[in-house]
Amino acid sequence: MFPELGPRSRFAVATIWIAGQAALILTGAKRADGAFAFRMFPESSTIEVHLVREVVAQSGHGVEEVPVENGTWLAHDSRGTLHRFRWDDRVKDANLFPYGEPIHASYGASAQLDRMSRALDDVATHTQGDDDTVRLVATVLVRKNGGPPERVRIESRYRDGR
Amino acid sequence: MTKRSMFDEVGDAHVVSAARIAFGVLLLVQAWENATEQLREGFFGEHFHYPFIPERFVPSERTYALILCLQAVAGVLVLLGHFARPALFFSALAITYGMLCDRLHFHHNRWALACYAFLLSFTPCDRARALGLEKGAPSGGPLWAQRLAMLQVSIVYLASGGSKLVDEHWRSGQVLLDRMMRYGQNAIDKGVPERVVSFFQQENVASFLAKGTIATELFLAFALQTRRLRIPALFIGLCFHLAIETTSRVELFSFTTFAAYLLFATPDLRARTLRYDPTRKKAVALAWVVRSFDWLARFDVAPWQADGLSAKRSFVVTDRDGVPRTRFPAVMTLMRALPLTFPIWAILYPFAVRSKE
Repeated sequence: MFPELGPRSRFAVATIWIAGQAALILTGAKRADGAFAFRMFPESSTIEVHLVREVVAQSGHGVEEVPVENGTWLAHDSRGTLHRFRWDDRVKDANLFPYGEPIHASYGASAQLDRMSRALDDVATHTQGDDDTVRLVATVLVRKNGGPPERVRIESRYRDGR
Repeated sequence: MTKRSMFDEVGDAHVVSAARIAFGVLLLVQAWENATEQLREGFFGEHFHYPFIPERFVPSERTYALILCLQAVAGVLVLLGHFARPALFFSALAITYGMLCDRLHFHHNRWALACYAFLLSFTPCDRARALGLEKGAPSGGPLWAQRLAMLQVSIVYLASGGSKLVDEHWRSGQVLLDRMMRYGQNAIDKGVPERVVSFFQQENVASFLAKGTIATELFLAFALQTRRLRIPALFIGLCFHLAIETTSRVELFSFTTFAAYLLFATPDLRARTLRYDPTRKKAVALAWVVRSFDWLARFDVAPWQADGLSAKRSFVVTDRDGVPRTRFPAVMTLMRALPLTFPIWAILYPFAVRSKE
């Protein structure tokens, strides 16, 4: 049923396999999450994400930041109708919840920051009906392996395509 | 077993078949986990996902549901040994494809499972303990892929231990200390004495444990490949993974490694014997236990035949060395060769050696 390989093909498969594994492991550091590199328990870091929305300032000039509480916010559409938006309607991964509580960065802080950046873009581009928010901004408090907290600001793309 | 080079070595398939059954169970559990993930969270493609591959290669909900169903069917086929090799091959590709479609669902244990399934698909794992196999059909085959899978176990340890070794925070114990500090209260809540938790929350203890962890992983990477150190390495590995399993959430990683450990058994079909007295209930029961748990087909079990040993013996076990053993040494020989009792043998071994002396 399944083809039996000859000695030369076996050697070829084994060589390609080992070379592939070596390449994936040696390049693991280049991927934020070290995927396919068997880097088990890489860190004991935590991230604490605080989400804000940038909205047009009431003065009409510039933008101001409005905190998002518990991943939920209210915003108007173009007709002025108010809608409720929830972060977890789009993002299901509990490690990316912006509820202002420390979350274990399971694949390391840089992996979580990378994922958070993508999640911000995703949410920003999938909240049709929110005509108030200019962009989403996450302020992330990163504690790498119990070290001192470091503040990182991640901004989504502008929702109007700027 | 005829041994030439790794690429033309042939041997009995009972060991790889036992590993196939273990991986079949794991593949089924993995398919179930993937399915329940989708049921719980909804189809991953409909909400935030982060693919390694271009978005156009991410499947539709229907296609992905079909892949998950096929994964479950493949798991059953692997378990039964029917079309097991194509099913293993498909399972490896399906798991990898799922992770390539969404890196949020990437986990090292899933990748390890895919790697072992892929390599196992090149072994003669369907030539023993398989449904529909003709009685007396030859159970031998090329073992190069089994050797490659054994090497894969070492690759995992080497990568894991090596990455920790080059990480200053890991080497110094900072990573472990922070974990102990943060999760100490959880342990106390679960009933671990406060004194024990405080002990592990000391800087020098965490530093020692970190170095021990790195040394263990690197030791396992090399020792598993040597005949002399393989047995202690397997026992140390078992303890190491049990410790991880009880202290961390690692999905199927420990069980995947335990299944891969089966591949380290020497593929010598019924090279040991168990002869028992069929008139004694205890001996018959022992024979039944050995037949049931001899997953690697290491024992030729048959009723008693006069062999010069005292007729008062209930059973006689002969190891590969050809020396017949009775009583405790016989039990030790049995325990060493049966996968389930191997850890008990390893614990008792130092006492057995001491009593011999």
